[in-house]
Amino acid sequence: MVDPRSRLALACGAAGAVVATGGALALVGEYLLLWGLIGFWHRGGRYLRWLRLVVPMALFFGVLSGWAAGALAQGGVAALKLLSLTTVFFIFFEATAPEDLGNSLVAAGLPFAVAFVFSAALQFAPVIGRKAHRVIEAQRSRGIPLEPGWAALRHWPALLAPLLIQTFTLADELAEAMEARGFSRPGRTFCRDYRMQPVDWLIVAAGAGLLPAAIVWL
Amino acid sequence: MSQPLLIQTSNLGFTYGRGDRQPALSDIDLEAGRDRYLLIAGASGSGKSTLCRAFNGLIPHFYTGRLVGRVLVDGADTRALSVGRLFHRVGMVFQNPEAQLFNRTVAREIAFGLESLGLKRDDIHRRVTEAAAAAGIEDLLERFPHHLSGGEQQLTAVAAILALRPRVLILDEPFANLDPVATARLRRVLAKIGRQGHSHLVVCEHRLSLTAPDADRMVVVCQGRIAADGPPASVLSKDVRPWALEPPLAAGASLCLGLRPVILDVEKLPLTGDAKLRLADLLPSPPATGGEGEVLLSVDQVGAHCEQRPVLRDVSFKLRRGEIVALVGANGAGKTTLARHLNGLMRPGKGRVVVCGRDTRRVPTSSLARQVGLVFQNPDCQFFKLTVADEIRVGPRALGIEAEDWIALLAERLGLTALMHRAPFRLSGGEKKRVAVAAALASRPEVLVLDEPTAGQDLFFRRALGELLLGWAGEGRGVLMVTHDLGFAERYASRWLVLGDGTIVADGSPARIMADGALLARCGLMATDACRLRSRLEAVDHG
Amino acid sequence: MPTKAVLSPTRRSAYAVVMVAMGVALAPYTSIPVGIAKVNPTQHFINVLAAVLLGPGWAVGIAGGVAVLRNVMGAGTLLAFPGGMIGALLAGFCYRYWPRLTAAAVGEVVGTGLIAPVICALLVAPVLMERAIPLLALMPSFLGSTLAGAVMGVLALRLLQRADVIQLAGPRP
Ligand SMILES: Nc1ncnc2c1ncn2[C@@H]1O[C@H](COP(=O)(O)OP(=O)(O)OP(=O)(O)O)[C@@H](O)[C@H]1O
Ligand SMILES: Nc1ncnc2c1ncn2[C@@H]1O[C@H](COP(=O)(O)OP(=O)(O)OP(=O)(O)O)[C@@H](O)[C@H]1O
Ligand SMILES: [Mg+2]
Ligand SMILES: [Mg+2]
Repeated sequence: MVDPRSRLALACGAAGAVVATGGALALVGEYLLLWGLIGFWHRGGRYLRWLRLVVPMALFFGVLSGWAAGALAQGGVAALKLLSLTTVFFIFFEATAPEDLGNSLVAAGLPFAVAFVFSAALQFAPVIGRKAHRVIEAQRSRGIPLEPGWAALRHWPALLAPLLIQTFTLADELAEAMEARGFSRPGRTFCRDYRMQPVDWLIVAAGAGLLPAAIVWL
Repeated sequence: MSQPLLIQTSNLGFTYGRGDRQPALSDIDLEAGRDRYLLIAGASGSGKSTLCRAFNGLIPHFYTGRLVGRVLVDGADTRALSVGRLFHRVGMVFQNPEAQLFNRTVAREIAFGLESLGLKRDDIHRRVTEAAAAAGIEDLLERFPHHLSGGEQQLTAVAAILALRPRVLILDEPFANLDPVATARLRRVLAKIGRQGHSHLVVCEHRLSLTAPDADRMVVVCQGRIAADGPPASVLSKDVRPWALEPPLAAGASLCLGLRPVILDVEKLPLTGDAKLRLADLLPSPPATGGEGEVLLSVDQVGAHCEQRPVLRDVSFKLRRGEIVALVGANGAGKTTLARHLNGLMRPGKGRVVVCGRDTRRVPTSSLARQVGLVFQNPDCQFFKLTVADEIRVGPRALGIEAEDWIALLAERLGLTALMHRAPFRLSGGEKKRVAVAAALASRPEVLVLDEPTAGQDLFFRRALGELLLGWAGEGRGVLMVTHDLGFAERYASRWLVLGDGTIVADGSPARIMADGALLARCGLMATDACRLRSRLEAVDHG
Repeated sequence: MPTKAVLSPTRRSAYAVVMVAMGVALAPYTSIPVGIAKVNPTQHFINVLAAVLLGPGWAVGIAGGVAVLRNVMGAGTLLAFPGGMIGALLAGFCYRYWPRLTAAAVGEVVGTGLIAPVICALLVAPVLMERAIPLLALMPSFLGSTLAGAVMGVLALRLLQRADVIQLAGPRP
């Protein structure tokens, strides 16, 4: 098991390398390498879904930089760069559970509250999404037409108010539950041990090496 | 046996908010933690949860309000102790299971408190495994807590606190969402904890038949004050119904048979030849509803998936005018999922659902609302107005139904008149449920679907609800209730549908279903007290 | 003696959790792509809430957290960092020194609508060279989005207060 911190270092190194890469061919090679990694971990399906959101942004960025530089090829490189850069972090977050990352950073000195907020927020995002859904369902069950469509827009305020109240009530209950499970108590341990092994240091070194390597050779 | 941890309250009083409301607690002098198993009973809104919050320091550290008197834990005032120093000594499982889960997996949920304590890794793993085994949720360890069914969440919450091995373990309505088999298992776990003396138990619960037989001491709270205190057998020897408590059937039977002190377990009642005659009034007679009316709701070979897991397959049944039908089954059997199909919130992937001649796949839910009223399992999900009164009026307003008189009547019958101007989010657990039921009834739908209507309810509401449902069916409408409370289902439903393995495995009268032991065991059910008493009486008759 | 209405550290963390979660959950539905940026009124709405309830430090952290998660999910761009965090900081400080909801809203609007576009343009300048200045054309869309978000934030806080969910006790020390 590779320590999340060394993975983070590796990801940052790789991101740096992508940014520093000059040649278009090298960039294509790097991107194909990332594809290889995604295929190796069988995340292709998820990656494609994620790409749908990111590609338009990258394209636009490419067009804009192409226009700014006065050369379309330049734009292509910029778009690919942005795409590879975000893909590196996509792979990193696919491979690392957020609370593992958070907890390992806590072991390295980050306040626990910060790590907790970050990883808990990731889980509560779908919960809040579902709450919004539940509010809509509850209103529809009582006869308020909130079926998808333009007519529903009129009822948007009626959706946001309860969602807000429920969300903050949820926060209160969450705080109560956290308190009852000793959130604020100092001296927390983790059920996983986060200790950097020699392998991890090697990986960190590799990550640190990527950037200068890219500057020199690519 | 560990040194007992004593919680003493002297002259305790508490008022929520800025102190302008009715006090939730007043003049409480109580000692907890001396008895192995302390049962706190009382009407909905009487202050049980508030008392528990005072025991573990959430009041005053977490709730705003006015606190008078003192709470001493091992001699130290809770005002001077932080919750962080108390949580592992006075562990508490809250009333709302969903709101207390905040980790990515069930295993991490259980481990969180242990990590707070700073335990070693191996200890954490061992205790997580132990607690999961005790709660019977080993197979859920890698699941996401927010995707579990209500009962599964409840067991997870219990396991998370059990793992802390608190010296006083407070459980606020732990049985409310559990199926009968899980209830029996949790009862055994609690009894064992009590016997071995790891922890002293404090349990709030409305269903006394599940708790009173195991408890050493019973405290009745009424409007924020202690109304009775003593061994359960002696407290229950008096009439406890004015406090909105439903005495266990065995206690009622003991009184009829003139036994003092009362016996709390049906199996232990000494029955003689004339017992049957003397207990005849006590046993509920099945309601005479239903029969041959027109079909209101027809479910035809419905199948459903949740997140790629099959939940329902080939579910078929019909609900006729004038019928009250109970849908029963184990935790996670898919009852809530089925209920959500009945008003079109979920469209059947396979098969079809027809309500009053309208196919749910073609009609939007908001228009089906005229025919079907749905009460959600978790009332928190369904509030969206700032006052109870507005909340109840939403349905009639949206559907253009004139209903002021009916709403006033409903509020009176469900005991909501005094709460009409409060915010629904800040009510006690039982009060919220009552508002939810009233809101669904307000628009007078033809079919009423209730998901766990009696969870966490007192006698007063259960009676009122039962009467309302009977009246509802009497007017030729239909009622389908999803419930784990088989006693209530037996009293008010003429027909039971048993959901197991994602499909209806039995459909018939309560008596017939409860006679099939193998079926019950397979579907997480258990015969009710009344049923057991009846069969014992039969045995006495024949033997 | 009534207990004080001060948020405990645990409660602050819990509020931060739901605010970040809300920002992330609603972002896909409220992001409007404008050039290389995506304006998102929800972000500014949450900035105002966080600034008032938790103060500038937390508000910046929350805006940063939302930005990271939005980027990871593909629902935001790198400009989400300056676009969200500056407004949060300013809103937090405004509310601290002038404890009115409107102050927080004004801080947010000035931070996001006026200062952030300039900083965005400066950040992108190395990539886009001298032609970055037209980016200031983004300003109206930034302003519109932050205005909508800030107004909603103020309304939301009023609502929460009326529903007895939060207590606004004035600025925190
Ligand atoms: N967070 C809160 N803010 C304001 N009032 C509250 C709050 N929680 C409970 N109350 C009120 O305090 C009183 C006691 O509530 P409590 O939750 O202790 O009742 P309970 O005995 O646990 O009831 P139930 O059996 O329904 O759970 C009720 O009148 C309730 O409306
Ligand atoms: N949103 C969801 N995502 C994934 N699985 C779900 C979801 N909702 C329910 N399930 C699963 O579907 C099954 C049926 O859930 P459902 O809530 O219908 O059970 P139930 O019979 O109502 O149980 P309970 O009596 O405990 O409330 C459970 O195993 C549950 O874990
Ligand atoms: Mg309660
Ligand atoms: Mg259910």
